[in-house]
Amino acid sequence: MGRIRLMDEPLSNKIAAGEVVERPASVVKELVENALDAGGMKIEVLLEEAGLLRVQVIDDGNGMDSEDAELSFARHATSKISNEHDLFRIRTLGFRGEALASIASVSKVTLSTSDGTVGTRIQADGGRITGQSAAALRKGTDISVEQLFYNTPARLKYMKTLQTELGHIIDLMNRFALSRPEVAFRLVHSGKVLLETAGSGDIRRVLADIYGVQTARKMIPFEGATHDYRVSGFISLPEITRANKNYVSIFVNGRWVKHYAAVRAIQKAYHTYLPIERYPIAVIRIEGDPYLTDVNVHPSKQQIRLSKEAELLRLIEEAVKSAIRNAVKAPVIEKKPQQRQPRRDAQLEFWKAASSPEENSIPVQTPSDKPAGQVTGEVEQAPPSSGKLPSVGETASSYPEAEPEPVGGWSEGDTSDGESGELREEAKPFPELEVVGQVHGTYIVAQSKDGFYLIDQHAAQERIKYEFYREKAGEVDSSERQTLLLPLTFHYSRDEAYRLRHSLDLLHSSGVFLEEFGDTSFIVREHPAWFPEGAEQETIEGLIEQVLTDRKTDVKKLREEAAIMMSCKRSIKANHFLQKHEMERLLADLKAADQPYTCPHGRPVIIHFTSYDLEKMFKRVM
Amino acid sequence: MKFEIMRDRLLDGLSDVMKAVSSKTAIPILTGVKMDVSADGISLTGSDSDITIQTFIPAEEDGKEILRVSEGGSIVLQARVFGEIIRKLPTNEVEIEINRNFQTHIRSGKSEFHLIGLDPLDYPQLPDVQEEELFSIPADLLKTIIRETVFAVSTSETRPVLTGVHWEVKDGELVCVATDSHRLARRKTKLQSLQEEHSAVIPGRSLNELNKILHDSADPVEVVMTSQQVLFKSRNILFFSRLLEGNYPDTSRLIPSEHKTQVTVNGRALLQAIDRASLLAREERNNIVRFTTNGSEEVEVSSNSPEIGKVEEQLAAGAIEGEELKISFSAKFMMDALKAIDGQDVVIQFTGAMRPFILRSALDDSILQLILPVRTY
Repeated sequence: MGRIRLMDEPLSNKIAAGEVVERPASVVKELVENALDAGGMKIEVLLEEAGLLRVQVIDDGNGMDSEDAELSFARHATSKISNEHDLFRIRTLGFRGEALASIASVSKVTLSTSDGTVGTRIQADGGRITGQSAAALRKGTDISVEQLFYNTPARLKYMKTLQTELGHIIDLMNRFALSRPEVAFRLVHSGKVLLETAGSGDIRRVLADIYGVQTARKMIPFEGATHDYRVSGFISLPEITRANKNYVSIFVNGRWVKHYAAVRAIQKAYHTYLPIERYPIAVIRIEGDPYLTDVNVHPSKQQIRLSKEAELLRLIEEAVKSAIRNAVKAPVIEKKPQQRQPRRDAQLEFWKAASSPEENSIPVQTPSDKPAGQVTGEVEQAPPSSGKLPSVGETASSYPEAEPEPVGGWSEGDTSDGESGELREEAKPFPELEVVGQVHGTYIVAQSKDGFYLIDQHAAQERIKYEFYREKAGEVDSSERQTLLLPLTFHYSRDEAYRLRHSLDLLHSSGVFLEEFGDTSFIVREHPAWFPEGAEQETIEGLIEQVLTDRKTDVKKLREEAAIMMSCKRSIKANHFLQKHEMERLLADLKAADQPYTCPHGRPVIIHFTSYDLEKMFKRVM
Repeated sequence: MKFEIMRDRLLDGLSDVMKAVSSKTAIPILTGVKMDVSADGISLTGSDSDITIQTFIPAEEDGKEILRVSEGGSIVLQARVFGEIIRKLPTNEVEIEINRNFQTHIRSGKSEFHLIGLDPLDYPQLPDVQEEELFSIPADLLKTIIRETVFAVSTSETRPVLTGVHWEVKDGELVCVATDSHRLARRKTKLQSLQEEHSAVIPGRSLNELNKILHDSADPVEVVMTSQQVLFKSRNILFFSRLLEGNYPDTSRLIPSEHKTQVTVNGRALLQAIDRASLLAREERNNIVRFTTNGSEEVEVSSNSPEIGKVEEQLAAGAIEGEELKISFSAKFMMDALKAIDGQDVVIQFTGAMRPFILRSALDDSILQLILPVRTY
């Protein structure tokens, strides 16, 4: 008796804070989401000590009156939903009503807000309101969170280095900027501007602010729609690759989410365009009825459940695939080696800049005609607006040779009229190539009106043969079936067996007839005669795997590896000297290929040196 | 340890034990061969854990001196290097001497090698096979049995027990069965002095190696089995093999006992016709050929590959009894089976196009080959 009692509110808030407020980035996330939900169009985030000392978020949104301001500190207090129905049509980023209460319980919060009629200032310490007064009348909200985790030493102890925490915040702000290009974001850490977007509504400008102008130029737009979903966004050309998936940002109705299946759909679309273990940069915006999306999965709201997911994934894959197909052309030679490409990651740019503060540089280009300082009346440090980002600035100024590229006529100067349509890469037909000769028995040199081309003869033939074998691999006759003396047995888990039992007909088209054999086992009494000898079991398992994951069988895909291997083996290698007519034939075949620019392993087949590159090299033009 | 030996004899023994030595092994010392020298002779041992082969070179054979031992002892030498050295020595006499620290000197003519040996105490013990002999069989018959069955074992590790040949001793008979589920080979051999019942699954690879080192002679080979090992003992050779674990499927009920069509045909002629037809059977389709009865005295072998072309060949049959038949099967399986029956007249018994069919020699009942057809429609 008496051992169980209700927790008091500050304690339960602290427990909730454990889920919601994991690190300074979580605070930034919750506060910026609030600012966006309040309709803010200019949002400024000011940090001290990577947010541990202070996070201040200033917006020009709707603000609150004094009563609401006070209530906003209470748990489960929200303006975003009012009844159960609303939960299924959430259009705001937040809805749980626990963010501010949770944050306040582990920090000292000062909130100044005004709805345009009254201004209110509230101070809270560890979740308890300690002061309330009138404040200046500026529509919007200015909230500052100080001494985060001051009363939860255990959590504070587990903070990573300031760099790591700041990295998380920069990453988060990048995603916000990508999700809402129409909002002007500004991220300042100890007086240094780490991100500044213009709020022009143009994602490509945001991409340039984040990844650099050069990279943004190599991003191509895509879109597609079904009855239920609309997807749009930007993806990188295959020549731009990253070593991990973090550069794929997925937004569902404006919310950044982690969606493994969608990333996989994109990867599939890039299949054979990218080397293995490389990933594209991508911004995928998915819009659909909120009814179809369920974000109420985890307090962090990073996971999402989507109805009609298969349909959506197909849509993404198709849209991305057709955009790449139209855009891919031979990579143009650039003089700077890949390693010296501009930093794509504002985080590291910052550290570069921070390590040499005397340079007086700020890491991101600032469109000086839009001083974001307007919204930050209470900010002490006015950021220098004329500074240059070391790396991005470098690419824009010290490498002017990239400028005349016709498709990329996009630089700081003309961003104001930069419609994305103008920036679109034209889908160029494969160039008419005239063979000049062969280098080292390995590369074919060819020319056309717009410069000269180097072609890797092995990769070229590999691509040609691959396309042949890929089709051929799919053309197997599954009606000829080798019967078995001893049936093959397959065991699956209960749920897999259940799903399999309802998909048996999908396997029939591939000539595999599973018979139920007990609860979770199946037997096969005959198999298509083309199955490689000794690998019958694996082949059937592969087909079943396809049915379980994709709900269809694809023999072509199953045999793709064999097709790639066959095409590699049966292609001419390096050090194979060719006659001119042989090279001409090879190039003619390559021209006819579906996707002549990369080999099946994702390496380039052809590299283009433009006439302009040559003129530059010989200093005919300066 | 020090001895002199005839190079050719040492080389023969070495090349036999090297069959068991693999260059890739988890136990480094197994890349070596062990040599034990005593006044009676030398025994050489090679092993890869699955197979262990020991040969014995006697000091004296048929009154001829092969070996002169000055001092006995043991050593382990890298098999590949040692074998190559012995093969390329300039004269037929070799002197091998081992100092302390396993320094090995090999002298022949004016050539002298110094090899670094390994401690023989580190070499694994031979499998412990104390059991009584199960039966004894002439070497040439044993080789025939192996040849007629081992080709049908499975190459896939998905069902490990099928990668071996099932040997069963029952009712005074040795029955050997191999199947990869697409075809089956069975050989029955009557043997005297078979009392005990026993069964084991011997890895196909072991039997292949055994077949290579046995000589075609009527010399008896003694077979000893334990629950985990089989030992084949012939004169001067001990061949140990691990047995496969697991229950071998009961195949006797899978062999049809009646038939609807019976074709008698010359095995060699059919083999050649199938071989020709398979030239046009596409590789990707596992070499499928079609076999059709044509009246009562002729069969047709045909194959059709849309991209290459087609072939038809008529073949005179000794006798065709029963229903008409059209059946498709893998050319490879059929050729393997016909080769095992070896050129004699062959009786093929079918029970319809979708049922397994069997091949036997018209002259002798001991060998049976079963093939599963390919369904086409």
